[in-house]
Amino acid sequence: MSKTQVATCINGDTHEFLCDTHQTLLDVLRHELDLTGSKEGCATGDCGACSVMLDDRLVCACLVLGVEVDGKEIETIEGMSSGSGLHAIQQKFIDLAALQCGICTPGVLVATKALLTKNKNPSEEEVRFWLAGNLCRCTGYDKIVRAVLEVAADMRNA
Amino acid sequence: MNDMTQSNLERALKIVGTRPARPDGVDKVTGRALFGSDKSLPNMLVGRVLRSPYAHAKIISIDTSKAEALNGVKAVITCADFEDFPSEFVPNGEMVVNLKDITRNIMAREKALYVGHTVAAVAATSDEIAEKALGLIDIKYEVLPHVLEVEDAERPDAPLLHEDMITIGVEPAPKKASNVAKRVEFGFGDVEKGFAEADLIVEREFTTQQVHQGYIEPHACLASVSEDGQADLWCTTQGAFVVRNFCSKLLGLSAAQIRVTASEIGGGFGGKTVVYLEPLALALSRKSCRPVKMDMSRAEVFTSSGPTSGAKIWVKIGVKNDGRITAGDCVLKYQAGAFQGAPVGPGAMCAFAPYDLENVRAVGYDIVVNRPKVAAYRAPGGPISEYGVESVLDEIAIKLKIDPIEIRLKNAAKEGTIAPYGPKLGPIGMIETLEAAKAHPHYSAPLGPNQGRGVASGFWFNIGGETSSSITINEDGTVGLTLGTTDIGGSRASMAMMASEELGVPMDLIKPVIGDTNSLGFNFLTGGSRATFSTGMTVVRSTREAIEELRKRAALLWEVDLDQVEWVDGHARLIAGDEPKTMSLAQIAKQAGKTGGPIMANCSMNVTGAGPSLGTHIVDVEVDTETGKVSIVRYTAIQDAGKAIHPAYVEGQMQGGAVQGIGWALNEEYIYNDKGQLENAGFLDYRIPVCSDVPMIDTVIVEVPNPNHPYGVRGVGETPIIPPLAAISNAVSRATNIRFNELPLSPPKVLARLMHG
Amino acid sequence: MAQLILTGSLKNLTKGVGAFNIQAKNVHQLVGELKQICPVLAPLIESEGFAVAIDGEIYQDILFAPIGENSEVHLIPPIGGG
Ligand code: FES
Ligand code: FES
Repeated sequence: MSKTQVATCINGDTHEFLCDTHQTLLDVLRHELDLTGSKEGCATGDCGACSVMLDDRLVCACLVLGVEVDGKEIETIEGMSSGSGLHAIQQKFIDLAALQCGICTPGVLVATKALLTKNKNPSEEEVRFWLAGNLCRCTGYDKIVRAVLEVAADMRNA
Repeated sequence: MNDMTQSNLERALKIVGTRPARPDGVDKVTGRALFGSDKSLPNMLVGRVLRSPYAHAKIISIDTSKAEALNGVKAVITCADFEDFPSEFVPNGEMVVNLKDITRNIMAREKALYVGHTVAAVAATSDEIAEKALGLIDIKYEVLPHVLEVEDAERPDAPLLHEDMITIGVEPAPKKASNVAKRVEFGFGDVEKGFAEADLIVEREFTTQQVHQGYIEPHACLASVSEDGQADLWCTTQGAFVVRNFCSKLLGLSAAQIRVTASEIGGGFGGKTVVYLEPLALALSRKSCRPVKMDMSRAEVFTSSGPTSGAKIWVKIGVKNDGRITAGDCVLKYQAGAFQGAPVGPGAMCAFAPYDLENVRAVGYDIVVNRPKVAAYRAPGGPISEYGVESVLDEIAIKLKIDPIEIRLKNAAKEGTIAPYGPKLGPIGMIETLEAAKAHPHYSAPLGPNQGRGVASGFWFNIGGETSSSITINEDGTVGLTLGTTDIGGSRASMAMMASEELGVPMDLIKPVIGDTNSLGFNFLTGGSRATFSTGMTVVRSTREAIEELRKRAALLWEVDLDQVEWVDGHARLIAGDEPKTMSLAQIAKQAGKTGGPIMANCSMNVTGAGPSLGTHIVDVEVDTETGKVSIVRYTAIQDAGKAIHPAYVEGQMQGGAVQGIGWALNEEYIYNDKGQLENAGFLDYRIPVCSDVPMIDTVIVEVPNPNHPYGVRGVGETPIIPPLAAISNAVSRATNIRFNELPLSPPKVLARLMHG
Repeated sequence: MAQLILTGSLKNLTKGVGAFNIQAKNVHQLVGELKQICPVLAPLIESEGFAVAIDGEIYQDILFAPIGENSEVHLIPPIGGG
């Protein structure tokens, strides 16, 4: 099977890779590019552990094909903290203990950042429905929702 | 209680009880943390598993020659690659395991016993080739009739999973084989006499379905066995040492030949206490002399790793008109899956354990069926039996017009109560959690239309067990901790906190890491709510030993006797003399080389004295009478933690356990078709609670110290999954005036009862 | 004198005998003594890894847990967990 050449920009850096037509973006990130921060919980779009931004759209990387991202911009969890330290959302999750095992955390953080870009003042219900695609089996969601609401308030006041 | 313990419980704590950032936090929020499938090695192969399509079938023959001939395939394994074992119970840490069963569960031998049972595995240079190779393995099966439910499995004419299984625990031993592996019985007094004294007797049957732990990270591992038989294994597990022992036995390697390193673990809840892929990856690597990486798909996690039992149970309780229980009796029938080992023993032991009874009996049956072999799931066995008891108690409270908390208070177990499994209980917090529930504003808040409020309590033993950890004082005054229990939800933080509290140095100078199986003595796994309790015990002891050594070095430098030096706030201090003289930990550490060498201490022990943790939950539900959908409107979880080292992570355990219980009560179940195939092997159809399904989970931490732990810790992880099942069922029953006795309370089931009573 | 108390399944095994006086000063000695006074129970502790509760305190696999003059000893199955 011949491979397709794909050129993309991931977390601000250009990347070129060869990929099989059936390979998902998640596969490419994890196995070809060693960006293992995006997690695979299901590979069927049900758990959100693989959440990434694709041209400003929140997607499940397991539902996107590698060849589809040619010419597009991708942001993964690895791109969330800048050189100057953690993103406010990341810090808040640590401060409020909004993670236990942490396997869902990259996806939840990427999804949260996407929410707060669109909606600076989400209600608890809006947070809960936005994150309904990000499964967490450890926390019962309580501390995650509190962290999102609190960091949204901090960011509004910043 | 020794003096050290006493002084700790009384002295003002600076770190313990606060909420510092966890040491592994940054790695986890940046994607740096390496989980089971995040690691690779050069020249690595991919391993894949061939699984039985049949629920019960004899394996007539396996031909792997075509698969082996495929270019890129480097190894194919079947049961022929594993030694067989006689049926014999051998200890592995605190577990007693039967290697005959384990070797058959990781790789089917004579028969495939459930859909998804491993029958062969391959290692190849790519996923595609491995997949293709699986298709080339030729297996001839003779399909046998299968059995999925306990009531079918115990019929005399049921198909037998194991032709030689004679029920243990029945006198005289039955002559004929059956699917009933074991009968257990606990209790004392005379239940018949107790029922004769009762003013009211309620007797009910309940059904619960098989549910999965649902950890988000699938099983994964990376094995590398070199030509000289040295093996390295990286895997996601609750217990690296337990994995090492399993694998060394299954593969005929010595413990010294296998080094297991636990990856970060993406949830386990009991499900990652046994081995599935690990021995296969090692065997494939041994055969190919190349590293082999394996991971399960989500569907494989559901079909082929261990969920917990579905069950049929019967509960009978007799009471006086004032609510005092005169007798409690129950019969529990738990699915074991394909091999014996349902958690029916602990289920029977804790069924009535929250209560102080004179006449009590709990009988349990461990029954094999053609489903995956169950594994531990949070408080294994407890949620099911206690669901039945707590439901009957609620019905009694309604019939007697007694408040559900009052009836529990009236019968609550306390220090000195004889537990249904025999011994007397030490101090426990049942009454305290009930009082806290009664006083909570939630309990007196008004309810809306179609809403109901349910209450239930739960009991779990908690355990200690073999534990080993070490502490090193670095020459710059920082501290290293090496721990042997997997950190599954923040235990590195609580260990560093206890060491910080003891040493009197800031927590950020302490670096805790999880050691591999070569760095410490044996550690039993993280489970049974033992990590904070047991590892905490060894950390406190080894830290105290290090402090003793620090004092010795200071005494040497000051040229005084050891008893002239005390340890206060991170400093050695000279007791006598007019001038207050102190030396900081860093100052002592700097000269360690010159005063006798590096300072380190370790503690290895078999920890005892775990204290049971009791919990009481309050839940408000709203029932949609059109659709039968039950919504959780408000939830409060109250639990005795003994002492919360890091309260945020204690709350997190309570909240996470409660929501798993909510899933168990409302939605989750394994659905099989008539061929014994699992029809909902994915998160879309096996629906665990999502963020929008639940409200905030309010928590109240009660602290009745465990006298056997230096800080009073009990362990909190197991108990919170117990009360939700009955609390929710009781709330739905109260909201609808219909008694429900079947889980999950999914919309179709609730609607059917609403329509037909 | 210390007593071994049996309830439930174990009492069924001993045909209804619910208590034995024991001399053992620790669990190790108890295993030996059981072989003499109640042979049906001995294999349980040895092979199935039964835990022992001494005056309410549970000892799992601890041979040298002390048994006092007037201790109450129970045999219980080992407890694991999730
Ligand atoms: S791995 Fe993509 S949604 Fe689960
Ligand atoms: S923290 Fe474990 S799944 Fe969310």
